[in-house]
Amino acid sequence: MDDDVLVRVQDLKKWYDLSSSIVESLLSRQARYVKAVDGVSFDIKRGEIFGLVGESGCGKTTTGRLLMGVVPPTSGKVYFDGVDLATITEREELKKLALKRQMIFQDPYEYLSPWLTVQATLAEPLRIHKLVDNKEEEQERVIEMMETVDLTPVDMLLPKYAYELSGGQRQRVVIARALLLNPTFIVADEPVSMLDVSIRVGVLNLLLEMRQKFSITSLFITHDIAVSRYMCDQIGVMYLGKLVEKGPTEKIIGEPLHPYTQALLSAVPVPDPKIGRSEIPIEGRIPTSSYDFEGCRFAPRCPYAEESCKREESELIEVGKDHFVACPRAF
Amino acid sequence: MDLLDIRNLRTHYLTPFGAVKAIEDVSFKLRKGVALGLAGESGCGKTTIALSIMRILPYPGKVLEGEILFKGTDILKLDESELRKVRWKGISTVFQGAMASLNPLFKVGRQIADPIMIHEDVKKEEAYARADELLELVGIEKSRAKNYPWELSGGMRQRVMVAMGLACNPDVIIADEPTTALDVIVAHQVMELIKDLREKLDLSMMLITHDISVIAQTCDELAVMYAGELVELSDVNTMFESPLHPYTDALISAFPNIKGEKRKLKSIVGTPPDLINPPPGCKFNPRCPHAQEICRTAEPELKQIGDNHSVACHFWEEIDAKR
Repeated sequence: MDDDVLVRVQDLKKWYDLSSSIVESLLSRQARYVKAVDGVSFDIKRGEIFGLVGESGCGKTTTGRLLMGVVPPTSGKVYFDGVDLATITEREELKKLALKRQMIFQDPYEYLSPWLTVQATLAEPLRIHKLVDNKEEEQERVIEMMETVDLTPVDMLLPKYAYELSGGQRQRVVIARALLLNPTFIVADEPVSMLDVSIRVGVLNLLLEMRQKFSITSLFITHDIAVSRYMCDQIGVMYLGKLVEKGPTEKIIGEPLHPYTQALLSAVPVPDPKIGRSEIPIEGRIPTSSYDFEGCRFAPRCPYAEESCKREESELIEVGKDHFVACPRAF
Repeated sequence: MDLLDIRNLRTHYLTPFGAVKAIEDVSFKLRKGVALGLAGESGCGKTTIALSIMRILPYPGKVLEGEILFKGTDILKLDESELRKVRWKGISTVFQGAMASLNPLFKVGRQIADPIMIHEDVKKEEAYARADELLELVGIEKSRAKNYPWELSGGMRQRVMVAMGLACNPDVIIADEPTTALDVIVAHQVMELIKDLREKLDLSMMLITHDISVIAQTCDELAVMYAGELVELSDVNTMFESPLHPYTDALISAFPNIKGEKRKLKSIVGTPPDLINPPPGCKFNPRCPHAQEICRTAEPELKQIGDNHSVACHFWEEIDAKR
């Protein structure tokens, strides 16, 4: 594998079995699945932020969880630093790998324990992973990290509980907690969608600064393509468990080739009354569950769909440097 | 003509911990045929304005002062029976979270027909026929009238909410975050629908949202609220081109854009104030880059500074000159 690739995802699949009981699974001839992630491949280069964009239910969060190793894939491989994650079974090795990959969740209200103070929340991972030798060192690391993520005044915030913090402060605690373990890879799942407008930008800018400072590679999951433009080097657009387009951010935003990417972009409101939106009509909505598809999954909503689209599914094909599209119209 | 004229409105929530000053001395007008966007962060009082206008403030909310004139009569002085004539027919609302606003036990057709039967002197058949018409108007097949809310998708439910809002041909429609819970593409469809209907039916609208880019795309005028007060009011073009209040400026620069040059977004330091004990002087002063001594002591008034442009800032002239 190329040395500059940190995370490689190959034909990753996660199907959830829908048969509700053993009896049902014995009786029904065919198992029913929700294909949450259905054959996704991409590379994340060292130091880059890869954005995974799509509407709710497209499988972006499941992909993030697969990369963290918190759910096992149905099939496919995840390579981390050249190592196939599925091949590691030894507990110590797993622990070491877990340290290198951290996650930032959407909802800091749910994620932080209501029983712990900021001090305890931040010291806990250091202690569990035995990264510090004594209390003084622990305290030093905690304070240093709080200053790094702008959780100030430190003295005032250390003894506070999660419910005493504002949304932005909570998300900073979550970020500090992840960074304390010196991760090389972070999965950020909608890290700002619960935050208020005025707080949001601060957290986004913090994540960008941390990337510079600690050279962290990230997977950035968001439904907001405008945010992904601001944050990411590469973007992958997901629809119903598959990537329909991936490539460098400016290509995806500037010259989107897949009709779904185009529709997604034209639906984003622009904070400028003088810019009208280009209209790309798109009908209907995402089907709620994904049992079986024949042909392109987007075909039923696609304004350009032809007969052949309903029969054959097109694969991602490179149309420009690093720019991949899964649509026959693009080439 | 001014359909709605809100004068010096003060609404507080009288909690055991002290009065939450949700709205402090807010005045603005909604002219006929105009769409006014009311923007601000959560907790700034924008929904409380809608609740005050409809007189459906939950306990312990109370309008302490002010007038809400609808076509010249003060809504706050009406009794229940007179109020019933204003609600739905005069002013109607489309709230966010359609699932919470629709009754899961009744078919959507009936839920649209109900207010028509109550507010207009029509027979049942007529009301149901009108419900069918309304569903078609919002782009739902009329056969769907026989569905329960939970049988519809999120976007369709929100369309039903819009149809209900239009049921009695209101003069004004107040839409409170009508698309917040929806996915981008569906949100766009609902917003386009509202825009079309506004033109077709010559509706006046008040759109309440935290997302100023939605306002940029759908409204004529924009009012920005901060901590229970209006800080700036203008037509959208002027406001986006030359915002004068530092908060408006910060709010506009806080939204990433997919069009044009990629630029660094500026964050606003600090957090919105506690509305039980707001800071003295200008409420934005602890977070404002232009704040000086006077901002900490004297509260600036909302001053009219041009045609249809008002701002509440001590230093708007300096900010304007520097531009």
